[in-house]
Amino acid sequence: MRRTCWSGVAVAEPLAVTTVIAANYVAQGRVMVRSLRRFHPDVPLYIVLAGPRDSVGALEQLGAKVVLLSEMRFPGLRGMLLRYDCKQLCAALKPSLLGWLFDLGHGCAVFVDPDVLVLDTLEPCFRVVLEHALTLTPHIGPEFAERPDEHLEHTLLMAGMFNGGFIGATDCDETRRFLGWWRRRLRTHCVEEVREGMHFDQRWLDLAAAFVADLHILRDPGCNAAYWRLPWLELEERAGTFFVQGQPLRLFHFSGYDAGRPEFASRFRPGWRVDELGPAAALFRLYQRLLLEEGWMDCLDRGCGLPQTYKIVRLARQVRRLLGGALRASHRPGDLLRLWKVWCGRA
Amino acid sequence: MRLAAATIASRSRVALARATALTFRRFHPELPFFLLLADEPHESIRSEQEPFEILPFCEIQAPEESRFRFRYGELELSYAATPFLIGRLLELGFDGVLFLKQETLVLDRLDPLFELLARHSILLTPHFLEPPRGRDAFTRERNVLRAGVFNGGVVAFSRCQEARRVLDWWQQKTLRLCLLEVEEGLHYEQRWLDFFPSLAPSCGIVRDPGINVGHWNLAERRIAVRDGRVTACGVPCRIFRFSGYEPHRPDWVTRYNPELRVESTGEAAGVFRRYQLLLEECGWRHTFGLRYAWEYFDNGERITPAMRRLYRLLGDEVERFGNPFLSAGEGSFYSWLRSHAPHLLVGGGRG
Repeated sequence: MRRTCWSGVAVAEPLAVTTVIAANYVAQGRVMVRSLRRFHPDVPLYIVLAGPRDSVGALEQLGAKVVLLSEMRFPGLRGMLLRYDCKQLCAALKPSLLGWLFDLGHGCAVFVDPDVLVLDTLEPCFRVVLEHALTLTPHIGPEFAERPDEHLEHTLLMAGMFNGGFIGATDCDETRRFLGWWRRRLRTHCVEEVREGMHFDQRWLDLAAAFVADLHILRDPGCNAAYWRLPWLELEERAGTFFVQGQPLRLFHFSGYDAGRPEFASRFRPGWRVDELGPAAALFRLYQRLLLEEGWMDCLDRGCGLPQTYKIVRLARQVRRLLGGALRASHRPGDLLRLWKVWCGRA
Repeated sequence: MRLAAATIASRSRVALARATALTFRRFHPELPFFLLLADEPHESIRSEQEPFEILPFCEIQAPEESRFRFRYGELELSYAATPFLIGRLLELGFDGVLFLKQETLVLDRLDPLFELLARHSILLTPHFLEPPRGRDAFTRERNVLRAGVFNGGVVAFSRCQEARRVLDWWQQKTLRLCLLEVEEGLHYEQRWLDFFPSLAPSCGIVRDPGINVGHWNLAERRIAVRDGRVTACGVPCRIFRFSGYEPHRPDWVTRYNPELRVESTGEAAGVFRRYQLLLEECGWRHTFGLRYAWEYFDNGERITPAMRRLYRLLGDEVERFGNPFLSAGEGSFYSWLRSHAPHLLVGGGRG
């Protein structure tokens, strides 16, 4: 169904791509941008960099518009900087990034995690994104029911049915309502608390199946494939091109991959060795080589450095430890200030 | 399309199933309604006198049946049997099966639901259709994240390969993991429904606000009653659910939220009163007194939740005990309890 819900602002390209990159993910970000540019030289790409200014030039050379996080004016950002660590912060920014692209006049926005590799044109994926209010990719497909895996079932019960590494959104009332709700939740509850049914940004996405009538579940196994789907998919390499179930592998997500421990596919699935993954092993080796070429080694000692705010975040961690859950539960800026003063008084 | 509707209840809850079946048959006299009796038969519950056709528990042909019955308590077993009942009815030749949980009132014809089922392999009903409102919005969302996005009270399957594959998988899950263990991501049979849209490409999500109204979404559904007809958000209210409603506490909407009182639900209060009257007619005062047969060993000793838990923890080891309800013999589970966990037995298992 084609939706007539464009923002009305004339832009050359209706669809734009966005991501958020922390200092320790700059190499992954560069690999992602370079691979995207290979197949989509013209698609507008907006990056929010939660890292040092000296990485801006390198990313901009690859054709991305880069904005430092410290220059952004996302609602609730200051509170999130105090409340969250780097991983939580980057996850919590997703709805804000999508909304930001709408505000810039793009009628359609696609978020991708920085640790993905684009291996073929994303045109078919973009086409369906353009046609629906919200597009999400499930972690598993129908093939899973025939060969279930209890470990993965348990992981998905904890982490959510949809993967937050690829999210397509079209500017319309329904999407804005959903993104507004998701943003409000992530301001204070982008946390990993399984007992409470939360897993960063992702468990909240399960509710998209209820809240968004025009949700499209993108089932192309070549889009946002990752370690969690490898045992169920037939992956092959032909003359340097990867195929999954006979179709082009378009976007692979190296979730939890550590180039310093290249023998393992993901830290989230200990024991899955790359050399036991058949043709996929070549994919992981390729990704490691690309990361090293893009200066992965140089990013190692950067932590997730947030310019200007990093010290505050570090202090906030100590505050959080001291004051337990009180800070996270706090919603009003006045409360944060009061807690901050309490901590300073102690210090 | 040959359709059937069904529910599951133990003997004590048969009054609830009667209310569900009676109201369903009122609007769909042409369709059969089945009750899977998750309990032993009782002289006061006979198909020829009931608004439903009774299926004995053995009819669903659950694997390791006695172990299945022992693993779970009364409530858990009635939930765990859901995919087996649906599967059995599809095997019996029905093209579509609508499952309604026992505490349900059908208030209008369900043709729109059946029309939708003709186009989908599975139908699911979400707890919410929009972000909930009000001061308890966050709490209700969190409850749904823990319990599952979709409600297990209204589920429909059509006879096709895709639905069968998902049903087989769901059966495997509820055979052993139909438990309330929120820290493990488990919430009876219901949390597994979250997987369905991923597993079944033609799974449909019912977005009719008149279907599956319950305490969790009462605040959003704007219930109104005009000339006896109930509407939700201005459309006919077809299925109203009374999850956790207890007829001996008619002021409470649900035992899951003791603060929510019937009189605070606006016009929905009239529907609750109607349900209470119907339950009286269906004889809840009698059936609630019927004993759950599978809560006792054959020697009459009560099976406690702790015993069931221990039994589950033993995993495949329990195969050697055979039928766990039988107390005689050195190889029985009962004997094993006497020697390994006597504190769980009345009187420490002595004598």
